[in-house]
Amino acid sequence: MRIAIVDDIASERNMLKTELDAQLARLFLDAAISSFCCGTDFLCAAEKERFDLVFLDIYMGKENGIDTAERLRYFDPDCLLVFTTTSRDHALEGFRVRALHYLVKPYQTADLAALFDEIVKRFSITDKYIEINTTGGVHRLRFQDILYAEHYKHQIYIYGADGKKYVTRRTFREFTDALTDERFFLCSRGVLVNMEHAEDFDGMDFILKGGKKVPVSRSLAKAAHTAFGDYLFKDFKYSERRN
Amino acid sequence: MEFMVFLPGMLLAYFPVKQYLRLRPAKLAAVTAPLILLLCLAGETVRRFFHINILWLFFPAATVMGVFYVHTVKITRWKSVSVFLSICGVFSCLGNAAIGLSGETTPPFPPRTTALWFFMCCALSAAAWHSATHAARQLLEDDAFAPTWYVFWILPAVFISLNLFIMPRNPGILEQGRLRRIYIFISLVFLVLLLLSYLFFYHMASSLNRIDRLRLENQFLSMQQARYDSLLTTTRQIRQARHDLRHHFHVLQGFAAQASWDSLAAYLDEVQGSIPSGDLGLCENTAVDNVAGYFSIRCKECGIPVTFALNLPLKLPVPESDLCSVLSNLLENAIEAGIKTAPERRQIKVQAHLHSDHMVLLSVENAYDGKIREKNGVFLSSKRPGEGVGLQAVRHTAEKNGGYVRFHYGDGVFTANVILRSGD
Repeated sequence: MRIAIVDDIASERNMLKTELDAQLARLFLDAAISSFCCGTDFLCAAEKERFDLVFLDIYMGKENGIDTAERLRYFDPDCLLVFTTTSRDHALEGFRVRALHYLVKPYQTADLAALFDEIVKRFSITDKYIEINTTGGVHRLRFQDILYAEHYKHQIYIYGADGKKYVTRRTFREFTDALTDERFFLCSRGVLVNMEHAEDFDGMDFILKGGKKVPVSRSLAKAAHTAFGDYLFKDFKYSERRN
Repeated sequence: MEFMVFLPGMLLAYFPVKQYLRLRPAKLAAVTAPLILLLCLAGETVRRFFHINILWLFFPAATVMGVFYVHTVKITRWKSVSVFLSICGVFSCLGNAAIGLSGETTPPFPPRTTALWFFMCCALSAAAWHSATHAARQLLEDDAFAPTWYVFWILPAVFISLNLFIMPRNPGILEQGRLRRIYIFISLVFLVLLLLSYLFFYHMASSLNRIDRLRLENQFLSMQQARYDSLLTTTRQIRQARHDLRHHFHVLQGFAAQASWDSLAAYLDEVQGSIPSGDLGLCENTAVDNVAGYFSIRCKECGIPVTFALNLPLKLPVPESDLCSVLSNLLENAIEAGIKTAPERRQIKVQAHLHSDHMVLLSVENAYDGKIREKNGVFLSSKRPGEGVGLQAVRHTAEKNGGYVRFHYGDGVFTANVILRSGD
């Protein structure tokens, strides 16, 4: 895990680093922490190699942490964002850049502990994967990288979020059994969709990002509607912000 | 052959309820057309063999079609029956006119009477196409004035019986004097009267609707007012704090100059609590912010801690009025439940965000004490029998465009999860 601390005041940076080290030790996590004194330096570094988690100060001399976050979001939509600030006045802007949390200074160790518990929960969601045998060898596909999959003539075609198509030969049953996660929905006999990539369900098809439609059999339309709604609100729980 | 009029009739009946069909239009047509043909054949056969007056056969036939109609559309019984009866009413007037025009008074009617009737019905259906797809649909979509539907069906029913009543019984009776002309005239007058009363009903209903909408808008307006007042108060507090800040610096400078660190620390402790905590906005969307702000004040008054995390942009993919009415209904319920809860357990949490630019996800969570009365997924009101009016309205608004509603409860926490979906 790569963590960045961005704050213009050196003492704040060091204090947070000490706290973070303690949390990482508590949870047996291995992480590299980098400190930056301004948003521009941080963005340069993040462009070279992405960070998983960043602590951003909102008021940094001339710079504004919210602007930095907006620029970060252009090229990294997934990085977890935590604002460190003295007031909650910027909460609304924070929503826009999908901040995970507001760490209101002065923070307590308990605040950080609760935050890290949630971060660990987040990472465990992105951790699940499935191994498939393809002609090119064994592939390790993370669940979040699967858009949808089809069973056709004894082969399973897996469409990845990266635009690639993976073909593997095994029964569909075996395949779906390996994907036990609430984000997957069985649309019909031999078609499975990852609802985390679904933008909409229009009553007949799941519409994925980019406009691809995955049809749902008529008898399952109602179940799909409910499952999709339930799933979206499950996601809601994870993004819950403590106040 | 007379049953062929069901063809334009059913077509006309389905026009205003196009969105509420249980089957796809093509499939529905494929079922309805053979059904009508079957009815025609059955009618002919029964008449041939039993020599029953075709008029009496109309009652069972219309009942069959009516039941079929009611079951193929997803609107309340009152509405669907009203639509069906109103079309029957109009067609009965036309029937009498056709009898008068063709001059044949008693069954069996010659083909020209039947054909005339059929074409008149078709012509009327074509003429009514626009009003059926616009005005009538609008009425059916709105359900603010449900009570009006309870009485509306009487109107066509009365006209149907009047038409049956004036129908000539004896052959050749219309040929006496000016009777025939009077008969045609009366049936046309009935038709005009009936259509006029539909028009009247439409205007009445739409003005009722308008009043209802105005009432809602007024409610939001008063929320906006309350919100504005609270923002003013916050601004005043901030202005005061800014003024105080200068004063604090002055005092601190004094302590620092004297190097009396203990008094300085004590003063800092004292001052820390005076930072104003009033909110400057709960949501970027002003309409939602108004509602949230209003309820945040109400919660404070009732002693219920409330947190808002409303991540909604200025421009929403769904009508603001829909979202605001859902939010206020849910918050109204949450506050009601909160008041009955032990003060130390009280808590309301509101969250909202967009999903993929055409869905709004909203979740309202509140602590509750006592019992929740639920029956088959329907939450019963604590005040009256049946589902609570608030939740019913929420359900209706959400399900309008294929949205989603789900209520969860347990461990003393009630959660309402709602998705509003944009129509296109």
